[in-house]
Amino acid sequence: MKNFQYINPTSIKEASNLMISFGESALLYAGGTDALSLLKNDIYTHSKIINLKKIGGLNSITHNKTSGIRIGSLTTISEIAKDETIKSEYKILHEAANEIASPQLRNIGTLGGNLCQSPRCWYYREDFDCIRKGGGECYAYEGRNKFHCVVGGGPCYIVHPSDMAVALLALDAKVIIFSEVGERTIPINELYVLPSENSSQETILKPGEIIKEILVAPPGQNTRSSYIKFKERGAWDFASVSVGLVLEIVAAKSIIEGKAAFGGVAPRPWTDDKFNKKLSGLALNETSVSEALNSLLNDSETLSENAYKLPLVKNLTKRSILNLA
Amino acid sequence: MTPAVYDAALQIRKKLLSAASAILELLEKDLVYSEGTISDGTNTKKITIQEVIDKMNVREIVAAGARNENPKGYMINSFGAQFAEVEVDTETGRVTVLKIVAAHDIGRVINRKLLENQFHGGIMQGLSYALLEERIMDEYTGKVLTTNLHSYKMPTVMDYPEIEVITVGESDNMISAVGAKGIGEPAIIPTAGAIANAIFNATGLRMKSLPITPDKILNEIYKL
Amino acid sequence: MEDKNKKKGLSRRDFLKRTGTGVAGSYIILSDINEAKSTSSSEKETLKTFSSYAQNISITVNGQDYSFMVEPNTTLAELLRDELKLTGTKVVCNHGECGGCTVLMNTKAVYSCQMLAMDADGKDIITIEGLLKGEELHPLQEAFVEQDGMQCGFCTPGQIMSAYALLLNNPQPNKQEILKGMSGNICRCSAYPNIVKSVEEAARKMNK
Repeated sequence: MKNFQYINPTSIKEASNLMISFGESALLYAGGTDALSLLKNDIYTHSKIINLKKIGGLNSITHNKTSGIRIGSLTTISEIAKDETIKSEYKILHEAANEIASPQLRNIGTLGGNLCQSPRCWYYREDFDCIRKGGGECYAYEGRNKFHCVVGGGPCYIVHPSDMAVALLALDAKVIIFSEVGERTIPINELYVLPSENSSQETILKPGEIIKEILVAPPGQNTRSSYIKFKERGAWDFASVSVGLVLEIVAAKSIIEGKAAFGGVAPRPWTDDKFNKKLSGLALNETSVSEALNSLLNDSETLSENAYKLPLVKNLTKRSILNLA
Repeated sequence: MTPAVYDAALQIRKKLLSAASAILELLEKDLVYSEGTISDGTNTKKITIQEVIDKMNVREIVAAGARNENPKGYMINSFGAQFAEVEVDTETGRVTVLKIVAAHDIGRVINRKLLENQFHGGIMQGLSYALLEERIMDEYTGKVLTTNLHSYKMPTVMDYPEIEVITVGESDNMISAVGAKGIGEPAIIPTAGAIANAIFNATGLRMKSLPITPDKILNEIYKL
Repeated sequence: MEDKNKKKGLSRRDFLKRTGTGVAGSYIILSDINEAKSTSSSEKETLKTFSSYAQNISITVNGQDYSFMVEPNTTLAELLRDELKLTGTKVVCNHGECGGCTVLMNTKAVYSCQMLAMDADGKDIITIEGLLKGEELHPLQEAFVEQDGMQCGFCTPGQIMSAYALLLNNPQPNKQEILKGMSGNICRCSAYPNIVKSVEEAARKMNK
């Protein structure tokens, strides 16, 4: 690994200013569990690493009955996984946190880092001059693409690897972003971009902008949620496909309102508004759920090796919905 | 390796007996070795190995041993059979191995604990060959894409099934001085076949390439 | 002869006797630990040149306080192995994907290869060497010997440190909790059934 300057700002403002003054040579660094691999493999070549861990006040979870939960971006995945309130009231977040990588990585990896991690595309991670690294081609498009996207792709066909992002999208979470001109709050849905909008970064974050906190509204009385991650091996694996569901259910008969979010299918955490609308009023039996699923991801464009993701995502969604009934 | 160690140990015993015979003034053929002591058999004349070595005035006794050649006109085979019980999730393509029963003729069992561990390791490598591990290469450039341990998927502790170990066969002294055949590699061989056959038995699908990953099962089921 | 009343469990020597190999290597490790303790780190630093990016960190390793000048691109694993000669911590994949380098940082298991040494500033680290009490093996180490929780043994220090972290935070884990706690450590020989048995046995002994 090439050497770099390691800078430890103690306030988010200082970190933001450093990012602006150093420009592209600087990298924001939280747990570092992903960034370190990219630095070791020379995919990242930053000469200044701005460590966020000395900034106080961003590593806790606070609960409020009326406003919901507020999670600091430096909170580790382990802290989220073991939080009792999250476990009982936001099962989807608890389950997503527990599915991430391994205990060692959950102990170090942070929520902010998880949301901003780089794609796991093997062409991006290996020695290929692909679009995401400023090259002219997506090698996966005609290459090996079993784990690539089935919707939202082009000109780059990555999938976004974050489990937390999928869960937070299903929860309609809000992201508080710090910048030198002040803080702003956006829905997490607006945090991510498709490659057609920007093929070199996954989020809208501009230089100097730092995710400060995540807000999730309190669950309703009849809210049930779950996160199912389908991975090829038992642990330390990324989702082939994942499904996050947040449903308002009446008397186990039908859904009042619901939202589904999907991982492993698109270059960003994905949700399908048409499908979410269909969830409202949906009767909780296999026939009507299957029928509603018919049109899910109808606008998909599968590649040579990833068509299996379509039945997989539909079947997992059906299973998730019926499990919550 | 065990027969070679055994052979070397026999040679060292011979050296010790020869030294003891000079010390005790007895013929080598009349000496009995037992539990670190060499005696005339009635324990009227005896000497410990420690004493023999002290008298020999050497720091070490060295011997080189070798495994004997295979006997002529005698076939040596490590026979084995394995049985797999699997669960195939036809909605996701996931194959879960519930149980492997492995019966192998390994000759003489020398150390049961190490033996079972060898069985487990072999079976798990076979299981991983069947379901997980794949070196994926970019066909246009010839570059390997699975160059790390998260994309080249070796099994974790979450991936092992119940394993039942059965040893059959007896010590066969024609094979080697210790009568053992070994198990490290033989246990790997039948596992993938047993799993693929169990998948066929469960689903009617003949999977013809390894590893049998969920995408391949779904491709078959949904004719993709 | 050993005094039987003195030691209840396996000693390090017994362990070496039983495994039968690596005696010389293991003694080198022990003597190097002592050497590392007796040489002050500032003495060593005078022999080295540092870039202007290097910073001083304070770190506690196995109960001993140290102070080091480190380069930003030094991982915690490199610091432990190269500076402190604590080579029980194994670097295998060097990407936080196998668990060979697992150590405890403030009572939690971490991959020391996937952490900057600078991020361990002010932290309390325990490595596999820290589990020994003189010549006496930790109950977990004993259990791995008794249950044969390894084949080649290369992943074993990491496996034991993960188990140590698990039992520290959850002294009576059920089977599922053991599997989850050990899921960040790959064993290429796949001695998993015996690894799990080892953790179960250690938990039983430690709870007595």
